[in-house]
Amino acid sequence: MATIDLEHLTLYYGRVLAVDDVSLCIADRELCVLLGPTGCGKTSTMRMIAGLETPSTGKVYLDGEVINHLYPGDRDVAMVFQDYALYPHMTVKQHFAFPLQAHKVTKAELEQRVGEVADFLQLSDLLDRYPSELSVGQQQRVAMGRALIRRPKAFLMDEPLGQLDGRTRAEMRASLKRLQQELGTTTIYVTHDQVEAQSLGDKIVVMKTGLIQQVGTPEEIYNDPANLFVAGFIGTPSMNFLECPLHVDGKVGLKNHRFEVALGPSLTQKVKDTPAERPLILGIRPEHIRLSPQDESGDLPAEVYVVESHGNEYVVNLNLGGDVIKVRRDRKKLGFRPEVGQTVWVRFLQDKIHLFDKETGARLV
Amino acid sequence: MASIRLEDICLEYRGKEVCSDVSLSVGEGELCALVGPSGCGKSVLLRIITGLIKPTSGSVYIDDQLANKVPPGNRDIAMVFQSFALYPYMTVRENWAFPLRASKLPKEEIEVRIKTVSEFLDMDPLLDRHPKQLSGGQKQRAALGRALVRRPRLFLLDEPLGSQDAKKRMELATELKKLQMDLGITTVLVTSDQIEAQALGDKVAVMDMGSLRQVGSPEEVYEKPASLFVAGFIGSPPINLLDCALERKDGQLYLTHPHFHLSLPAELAAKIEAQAQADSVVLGIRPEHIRVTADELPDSIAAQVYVLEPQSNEILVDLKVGDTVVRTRADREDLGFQPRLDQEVFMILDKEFMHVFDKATELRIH
Amino acid sequence: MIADLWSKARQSLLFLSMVIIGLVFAFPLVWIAMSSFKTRVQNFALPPLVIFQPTLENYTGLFQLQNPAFMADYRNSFVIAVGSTVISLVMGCLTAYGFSRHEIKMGGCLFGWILSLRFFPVVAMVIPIYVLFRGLKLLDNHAALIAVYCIFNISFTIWFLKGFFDEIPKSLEEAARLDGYSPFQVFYRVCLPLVRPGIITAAIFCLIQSINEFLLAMSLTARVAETAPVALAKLQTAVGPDWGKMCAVSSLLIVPILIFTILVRNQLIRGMSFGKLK
Repeated sequence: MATIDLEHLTLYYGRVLAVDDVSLCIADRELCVLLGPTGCGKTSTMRMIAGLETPSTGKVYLDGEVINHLYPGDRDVAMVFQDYALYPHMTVKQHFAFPLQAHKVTKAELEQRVGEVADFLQLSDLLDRYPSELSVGQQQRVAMGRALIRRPKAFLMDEPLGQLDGRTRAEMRASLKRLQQELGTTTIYVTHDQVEAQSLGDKIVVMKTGLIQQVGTPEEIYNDPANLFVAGFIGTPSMNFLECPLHVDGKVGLKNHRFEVALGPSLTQKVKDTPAERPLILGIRPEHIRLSPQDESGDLPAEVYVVESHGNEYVVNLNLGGDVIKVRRDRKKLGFRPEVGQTVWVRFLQDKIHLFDKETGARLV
Repeated sequence: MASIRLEDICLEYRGKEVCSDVSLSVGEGELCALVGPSGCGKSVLLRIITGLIKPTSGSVYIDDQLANKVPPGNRDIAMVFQSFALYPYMTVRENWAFPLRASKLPKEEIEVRIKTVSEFLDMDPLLDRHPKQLSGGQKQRAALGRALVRRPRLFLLDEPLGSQDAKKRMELATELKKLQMDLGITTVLVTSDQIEAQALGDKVAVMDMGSLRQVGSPEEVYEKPASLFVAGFIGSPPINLLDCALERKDGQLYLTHPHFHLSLPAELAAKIEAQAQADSVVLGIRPEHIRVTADELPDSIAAQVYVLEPQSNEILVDLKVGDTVVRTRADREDLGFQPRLDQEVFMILDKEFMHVFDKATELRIH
Repeated sequence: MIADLWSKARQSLLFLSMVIIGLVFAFPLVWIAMSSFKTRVQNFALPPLVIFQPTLENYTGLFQLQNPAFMADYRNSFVIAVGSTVISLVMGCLTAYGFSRHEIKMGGCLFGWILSLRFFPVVAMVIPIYVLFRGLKLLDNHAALIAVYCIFNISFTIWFLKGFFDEIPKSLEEAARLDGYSPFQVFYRVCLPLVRPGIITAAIFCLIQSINEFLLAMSLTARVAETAPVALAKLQTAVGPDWGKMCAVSSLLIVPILIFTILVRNQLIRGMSFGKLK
């Protein structure tokens, strides 16, 4: 069993608050992703779990026991570093043997475990090479192997795929996910790439400037973002944000000086307690907007600005009365090819509209 | 505004063929994205266009005039580098003025041009800053500005977005495209990111190991890849490539694989039979054209759920068929059910979107 | 074709220049070695003799010197040099590591002060140290001379090695700590091997400095701990310097250093070829 619990962790670097009252429960066998832009405190939080930083306040629990006082080497966690941290003067084989030698494993067992890990990561032919003789992908596998061989209670990974090119990264992502599920080791994974976070995480913790913004499954974070930041951070292309205050005029809608969006019955119901003329931000994801070359009732006109081809989809950038919005749609489902300068008609899917309070950033609907 | 035409460009360097028989034309106002893996020769080709490198043989035509003998400085080309190459000890204004002073323009003219470009790029408040005081996006505009003030006939961009992180890159790419369209300057962009190439290019030229593999619109290159290489290179997640054999039985043509047996519709079969030189083929099918179902349906293939990767409104399901891993991609809502790890499921390949390649020549049959 | 020929010509030219430069640098050493095999008369010949009948009279003459015997001086030089170098390397590594890895209050000043010791003019030190050692009855003592040499050797090794330790990314040490190694084990098993080229280079420098040192050796030693440079100075006879014997002494001093460098050059190159630490 390897559950990790963080209780009110804070960390100061001098006067700067890097981690602000972070509390989190990570279940056994879970892959928990700490996601956020640079400087949000995700790496610092992970380093506190590893024991490489001492929390200013707060406790770290592993399997229900406090581990704040334990040295990093005694915590039974293995870390994969962003720059791999390979020892230039050791061969691949020595890299795998090194962690075991600290714990007095018998020579026979050491050989066996080294062989196992090498086979598993397809590095058996490279055991006598030095890091400078390996490709980046191979180096990454050595870094993984060094963590794997210890059979620790938990893995801590700091952007392990960051240095790989797009293709290799996508392949490694799938392999990594499968590996973690087969091994069943609790894992904490730090990244700034939300695509990676959604792919890998059983649970995602979105952080910004030291604070947790939201904790949830990839689906929850995507469908029900807690605030503007989370909504804008998850998803490619990013969610479109349009400022429009609430307007009640017979029917309830959102109206700004450029356009007006009527709200359907279910949404109207949800905003009934909100005062009128309250400044709101409408959020709608590019994949939840429908385009058509003809005017259908209730649609908004917009001018096509740039059309980008992405595989089997088009990302159409539109000028909606001064605001630029992006729409993403499968080419076949779209049915027509938008031309630059063409006027098209835009409809937002009602049940996918998010409304955020402009001042607090919190989501209302 | 100028058109570019490359005819049979060859470049040999230290006994190696860096470029072989490259012929490419870029129309006026077009953005051609030159894309390929690192080391394929695309940056070299760009430099041949500028004249910084001389081809071993072949002709470069700019605006239908032979430009081989014209020195780089006289070709009226502006190049933007990956590292932006801004002079760190000069302000933005001085960076922009520098190339203009080289062409001995009068002072007033330089001022006017800087002002126009600055307004266009929205750089007015940043003109007196130094590069290290600028953000990534601002640096990119500064680098573009330096190229724009020269009012060149041609724009050459060498991995201009390479040093940005993924999210920023998408935003900058759209701005770049808009800028290029508004100015209408013929542009050649070099990148190793095929996503960028598809998004920006009016025309995409795929290169590998010194030769052009395919040139076409982004849609063409994606929907009708000419060879195994192009099919595998363009598209993310990458296309699934499965080795199959052609078999004729009872008047029907089948694609056989250790784990499945697919019959081909009549017209498709006729076309393939006519062009196939051998019976070994490679079946290519993109992840979005494979349907995953929980129940067995006609023409479905048994598989096991290997990895599940949720991604925004879609879910990437990797399926294991024997020893092969097949990637699929579907809208969560279209999928209809929630797959579980190691679940036994079925996959159906959409025959309308199958690509068949000859295994030996690696060229497209259908 | 022409391009190929031209590049080959350029390469040969470069090679030739390197050989010439190498010869220019090696020449004084070669000349000294040659002169040690010439008789007194041959050494004064003009034009200088390149081809001659070698003789061993200088070397045998050296070994006949007494009070103190030359071999005793020679041995002292090396004992003191090696002793001082070893101590300096050990202390230097540990201190440089400390400076590199830990934030020390006023660390910059401290470091600067240590460095300044290296450049302190020995001439200004000699008399006070002489008086001090005389009082402590430490004159003509091997250990005392080793200690004094450590003043400039340790300051050199600390300054020199800190740069090497700075180059090691912190994540390497963190990885080792997470694996379960104590801080000292991390220092010993991860950091030291990575600064090997630095240690070897520092060793060579310290050895050379210590062997060459004359002023302190002359002032602080008499018979027991006298070193070779002092013996060299004593070879000034009434009729002028005994060039032959002086060259013999010099050659004998150079040889062990040369051998050491040749032996460790593999280690030096191996250390540098581990590649970039990043």
